[in-house]
Amino acid sequence: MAKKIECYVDTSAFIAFLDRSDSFHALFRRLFSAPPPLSTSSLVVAEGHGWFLRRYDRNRAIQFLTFMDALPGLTVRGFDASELAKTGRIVKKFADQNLTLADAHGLAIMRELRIGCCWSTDRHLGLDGVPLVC
Amino acid sequence: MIRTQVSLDEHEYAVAKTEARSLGISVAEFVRRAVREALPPRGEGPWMKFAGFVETGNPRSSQSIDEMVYGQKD
Repeated sequence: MAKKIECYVDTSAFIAFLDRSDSFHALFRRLFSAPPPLSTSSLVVAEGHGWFLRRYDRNRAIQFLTFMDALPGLTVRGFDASELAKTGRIVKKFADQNLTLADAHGLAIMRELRIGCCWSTDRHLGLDGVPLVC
Repeated sequence: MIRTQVSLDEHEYAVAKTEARSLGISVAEFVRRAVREALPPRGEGPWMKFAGFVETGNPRSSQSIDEMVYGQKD
């Protein structure tokens, strides 16, 4: 039986871990050193890859993907038409916020899998009341 | 200590030699240091070698992702 996913991971947690300048780097370095079963969205992977492409170059962006492959116990949820429908409803629910689809997909995944912990430095991921680890 | 051979192209060798000389170390020691830097710390998983692999200089880096990716401030 698969282990229950304990925490959802947002792009901001990955960046805090990978960027030694980030003020949350030490915290996420510690958390990622012995990660519990984790979940994230394929949109988070795309966002992280895009961040490295824009901030650095394609080589660093590929290194980001290599890191994602190497991280044990990470489940990446795909994004298809049904995920878009669920995510769209959340974006509309929080229409007063600049919520990205990646943020909203994270909220949808946490809601569906009843995940009670989120690794993120982005307040948007706490809109449904799940406590942020940051 | 294990002895091994490494093949470098001319340019890589020339740059490595220059860097090693500027640090006051041999080319072999320079290569050993480069290998150590690329490996994860002992006792940690292979993914940990990516911890802090970039240094933006921005302590709010993880809080300004939308600005970087989408060009928006929030």
